[in-house]
Amino acid sequence: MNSKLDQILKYIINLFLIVWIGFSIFMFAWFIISSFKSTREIYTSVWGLPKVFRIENYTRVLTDFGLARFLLNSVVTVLTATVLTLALSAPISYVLSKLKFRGSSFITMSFIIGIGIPVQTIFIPLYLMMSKINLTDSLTGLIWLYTVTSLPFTIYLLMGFFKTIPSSLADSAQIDGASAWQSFIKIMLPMARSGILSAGIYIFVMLWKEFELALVFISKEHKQTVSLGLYSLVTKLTYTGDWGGLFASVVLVILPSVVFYILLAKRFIAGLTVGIGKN
Amino acid sequence: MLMESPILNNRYKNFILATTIPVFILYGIFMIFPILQSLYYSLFDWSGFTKNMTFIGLKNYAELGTDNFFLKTVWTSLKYVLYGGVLIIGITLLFTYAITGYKSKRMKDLVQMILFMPNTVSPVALALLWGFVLNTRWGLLNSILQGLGLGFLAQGWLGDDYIFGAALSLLVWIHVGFFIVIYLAGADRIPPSLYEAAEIDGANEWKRFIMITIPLLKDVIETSIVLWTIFAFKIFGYIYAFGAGGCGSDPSPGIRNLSVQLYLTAFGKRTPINRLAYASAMAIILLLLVAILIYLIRKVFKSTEILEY
Repeated sequence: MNSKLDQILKYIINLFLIVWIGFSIFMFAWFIISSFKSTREIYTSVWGLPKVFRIENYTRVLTDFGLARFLLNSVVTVLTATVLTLALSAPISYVLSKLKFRGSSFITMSFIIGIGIPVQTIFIPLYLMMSKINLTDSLTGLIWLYTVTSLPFTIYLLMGFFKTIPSSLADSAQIDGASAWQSFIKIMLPMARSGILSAGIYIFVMLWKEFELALVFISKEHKQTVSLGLYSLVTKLTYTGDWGGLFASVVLVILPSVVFYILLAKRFIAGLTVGIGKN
Repeated sequence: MLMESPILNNRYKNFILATTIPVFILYGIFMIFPILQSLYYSLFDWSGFTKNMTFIGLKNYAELGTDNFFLKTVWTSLKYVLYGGVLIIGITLLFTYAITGYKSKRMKDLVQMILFMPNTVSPVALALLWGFVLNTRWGLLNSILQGLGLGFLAQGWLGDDYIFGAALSLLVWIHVGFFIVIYLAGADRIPPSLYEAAEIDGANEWKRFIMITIPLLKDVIETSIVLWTIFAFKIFGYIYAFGAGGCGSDPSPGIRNLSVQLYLTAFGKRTPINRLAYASAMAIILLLLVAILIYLIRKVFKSTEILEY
């Protein structure tokens, strides 16, 4: 029939995809290249290569502009929140996916609905609540918020994983007299290890780039996390005209999550798509 | 099965209570209860930062109905839903077509990984990047246009006329990468035998994509439309940091969605409005709009089922 037309169509779509990917790679390369330029070079040839690679852009932003502090705040907050989220989600996900009891579908449903609740609908009451217990401008407060808001999606992901694990082993362990906790910790957890790891990577990457909650709940500069810190740096460095330093900051901020993602991309994507096509 | 045995049932009971109740209570306190609180606050005249709280019933909602700034952000959010939805779902489908045609699994994984990458990056960095790409004087787009001898097409992309398209293009670039992952996972689960049968019947690749892949991806497409609708209303960082003429100013009114306007009304620092109760009414409207849209989308997808079978 008109298979020639189909071929042309296919070429065009593939070309479009190649341009798209080329653009994406170029963007990331450009971030890195610009971070080694002097501000003058960025002005004179914004899309070209630098003459000298200026590593001092990095040392300057880390020390003078407090980026080291933002990085440290993010590491502490995001790692703690990730571990806490997994610890709270794993047992309940197992129970909700494997055991039927009165109220189980209600609880499951309410977590699923939670995935769709935009955080904007609750951050005013949360702000008032947190300021009452002195947890605004506090990393502890941010850890709690990150943990709680990550729960619905994490539980949804982990439930998908537990569903793929056969319960026969845990069942026979129970008949042999193991308690529910024992069979969960000794049998189910090790079998769900890869799923929990995937979920953990996903939470880490998503919280590392989180901006909005940090913006609402943190205002003191020494408590800022990377996205928020970068936002204040952009304002500051645009003002002083230190574009080289600005790009060095961008690279340092995005590097941990991007590297983490590239190294574990397969797991990451497996984690994100576990529920697809199961219904 | 096991639950029916009374002894085991008892043994499970404490386990179930210990694992579910604390997490559920935590979730209720921090995520469900605040929705009710937003509803309650929205009935008052209150800045949020003083003790003066006057009950005014539905007056905040009445005011929202005449607040042109607010109505414009609702309209902009809907524009994101519609234009963004068509572009993102359309491009994602085209890319699904191209990528499922790859023979090499490694190539598939690599392309997918690169497409998703913007989703792992701080929104502030991406908004900054987009400002550089679209800058009038030395931006990438205008430089390329000039290089191709198409300089007459160069525009002030960050001016009021084009700013919405500028923000939309950033969101499309990012979210095609997000949804392609879900679409490819869905396409992966379609049994190859279906394609083989169609091939024997003489259907070419494009036809097979239209007749088999797209109908079987229906659930995935529905999920992606629902998710995008939620995203379009709640996306914040990309738009907030994509301030007019770079960072350091509030985003131009033309690109603000509901959640950006809500933030500015409650907590905005450059031009403080500080009306927490009024912003709470916005939050309730936001939730209602999202719920209604999701309901409608589900309804449309349900009604198309008859056509298929």
